[in-house]
Order: sequence, then C-alpha cells, then structure tokens
Amino acid sequence: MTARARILALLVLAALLATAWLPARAQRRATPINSPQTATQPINELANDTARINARMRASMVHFHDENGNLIYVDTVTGREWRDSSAIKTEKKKMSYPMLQSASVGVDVWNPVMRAFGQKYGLVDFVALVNFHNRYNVVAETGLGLANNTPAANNFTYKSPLSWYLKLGADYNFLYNADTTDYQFLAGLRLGMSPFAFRLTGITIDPGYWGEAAHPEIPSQRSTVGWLEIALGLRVKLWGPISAGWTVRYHAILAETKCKYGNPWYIPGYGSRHGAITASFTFFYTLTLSKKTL
Amino acid sequence: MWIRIVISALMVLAALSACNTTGCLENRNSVPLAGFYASGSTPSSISLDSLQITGLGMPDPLQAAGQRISEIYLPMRATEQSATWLFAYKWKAYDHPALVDTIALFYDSDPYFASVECGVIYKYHINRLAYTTHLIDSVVITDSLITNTDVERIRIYFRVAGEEEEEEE
Repeated sequence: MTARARILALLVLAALLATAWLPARAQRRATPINSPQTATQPINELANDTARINARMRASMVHFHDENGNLIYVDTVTGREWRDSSAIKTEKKKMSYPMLQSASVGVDVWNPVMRAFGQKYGLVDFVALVNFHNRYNVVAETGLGLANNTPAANNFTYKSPLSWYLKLGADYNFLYNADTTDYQFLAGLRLGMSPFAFRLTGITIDPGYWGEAAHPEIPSQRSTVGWLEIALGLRVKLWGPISAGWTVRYHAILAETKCKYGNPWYIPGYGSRHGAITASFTFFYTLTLSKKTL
Repeated sequence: MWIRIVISALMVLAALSACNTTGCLENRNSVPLAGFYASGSTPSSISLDSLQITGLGMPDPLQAAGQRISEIYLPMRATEQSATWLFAYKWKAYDHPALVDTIALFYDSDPYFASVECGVIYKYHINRLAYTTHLIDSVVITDSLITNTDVERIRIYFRVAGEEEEEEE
C-alpha cells in the first residue's frame, strides 16, 4: 500500500467517524418519564375545551329544530336539552320599521312663492306618498299650472291656460334605520306628463330695412310632454304630524308633441323649458300607520 | 352637522334653479346671409368695395359703395311674398343703369316661436329664385329654409376678370 493510499484511507475513516459522532453530539438525550401525572396532563388541559365538549355532546345526543329554527340536542338518558350555541345564526335586522309605516299628503309652496317674486307661470302642486319600512316612498304628484308672460324688450305675449299634470315615482330614504322617522334624506325618480295648450298674441315683427311691421298671430296649439326627474331632498319634522321637505330636481324632456309654430315655453309640472334644475318646498301632513318594531 | 351641510347644499342648488335663461344666442329675425364668390373652376370667396345694394322701391341703400364686404344679410319682406335686390357696381367702367343686376327671392312665410329669449320670428321657405347676369354669374341657394340661425344660405358668384378685376381675398 502506498503512502498516498494509506493517507486516503485514514481520511475516509475520519470522515465516517465524524458523520457518526456529530449527530450523536447534537441530539439531546431525553429520558422519557411515564408517570400518572404525565399520562393525565393532556386530558386535564383539554377538559374545559368547549369545542371538544360540544363535539362529544353532539355525537352522543339526538337533535331537532325548534319553531325558531334553533338546533336543540336532547340527552336521551337524562332528558336534558341543550341548544347548540354555535349553530345559532344571529341575523341583523334589515328593516327597523314595519312595511306600512305611514302615509303623507302635502302641498308645494315653491311656485306660489316664486310667483310672488315675479315668476310668470305655475299655480299649485300637491303630493301624496306612502312610506314602506321608512325606506321607500311611493309618490304621486299632481297639480295645476298656467302661464301669462310678456317678456320685457320682446315682441309677444305667451299664454297657457290652466292645465294639469301628473308625476309618479319613488324615493329612497338613506336614514331608514334611524332611531326616529323625524328626518329623511331622500333620492328619487319621477316620470311626469302633462297635456296642455298655449298660444302667442300681441306679436310684432320688427319692420327692419323694408319699414313694414308685421303682426302675425300664432293660434292655440295643443301639446303633450313627458319627462324624467331625478330628485334629491331632505324632509324634517316640524311639529306633531307636520313636516317640511326641500327638494332639488334635475329634469329632462323625454318626448313631446311636435308643434308647427314652435315648442312651448312653459310645461305644467315641469316649469320653464330651458331650466334643467328646479326645486320644491312642501309641507306634509303625515298619518302614522304602524309603530316602530323593536 | 352633516344635516346643515346637506341643507345648505340643497339651498344653493335650489337658488341655481332661478338662473335658467341664457339670452338669445341666435338672430332676433330670420335674415339670410349671402356670401360673395368669384366664379370659375375653383370658386373662392371675394370682397367688393364698390358695390351698392338697394331694395327694389326703397330710397336708401342697404349697403352703400365704399365699404369692402364679402357677405351681407338680405332681409326679407314680412308682409310680402317676394323681395328684390338691386346690385349696382360703382366702378368707372360698370357704373351704368343697364349693368345693374337684380336678384329676386319668392317665398312662403310662417310665424314661428323661436324661444322666450329670441321671441317670434318668421320662417321663410324660398320656392323660386330669379336673377340677371350682367356681372353676376350665378346665384345658389344652399338652404331654402330661412330661420334665425346665423348660417350662409345664399351664394352669389360674380364674374371676376380683366384690368378692373377686384382683389381676391
């Protein structure tokens, strides 16, 4: 055996001894202790574990659902009943108020007030609504309107006789689960329509270069207009059954009769054709139909 | 606190409902706009400074010579069903009654409620056109319905040639 071979064999032997010795050195030597204390220790530690207790009870009992939907276990030996609390579903109430919460009627004073400030159209408007769960209001609005306007520095008088309108829609109350129904913050939609007539009189066409003034007449024209409203409003209780509501509305005409001599300026229930935004201020009388459920 | 904010916002929006009118953005009368063009294979807009335009039977001109114009409003007659215009050329070689061009428009008219801001106007439906061709090459009605919108509806093409040719713009 050459010297090189002897050295190589000694190195291999040393490596083998090291691999055997190092794990033996890292391992902690534990002497297992078997005693009554160690045997009962895990049982004692888990004795009060609720999940394990309930699982043992479920396995050994019969069960049924009572009238409220609770899962009831019955010990057939002792007759003891146990309600499985983990199966109880706690349900958050969606509505705090009954379905037919209240009904209201109201009168809109916006147009009468604006007429006092110079508005040349409008008359009176009424509202009726039914409140469901203090969350949804189904609304009907109706009223009468007329117009008589001779604009300054213009060449005509616009007249529209007394005509009616109707709007149907619904509101959503964002404060539906509040402790009180005294405040409502509402957003809603309306569809409205109105059949009406209009005519123009006292027309003077500027003589211009030719020096010939013309005085045509535009005869009475009938029109029916349908429109959409998006409303945002606030309603607060004033006293007893009396409350007041302030609403801002964006409206847009959906369809209208085509008129030969031009489109109407005033539409009952809608207002001036060229105004995209209008408002209302309404006093309500509310009849409470049901008390709040707890 | 938020109730006050909502109330204030609603009051501002309600106040905006009073700001509805924007005034009359169109003309308060239906007056057709006539543009001047040079006749030729590629017509181009021109301006004339010695052109006098007078309504038939009127003492005063609608447009006096001396001002450079490339277009003009020709008012219609509300109480009649035609309007005739005389085009006189006040340049040396063309200032002669025999060379005065006429343009006559024949139409039907209906009153029309434009808007509460613009008032009542007449709508004119041009159903016939007649003109002479001394210096006028042709007249084209681009839109026979005349309303108060400010749109060119008549094109007058002039013969433009020789030493007396006007500047083209």
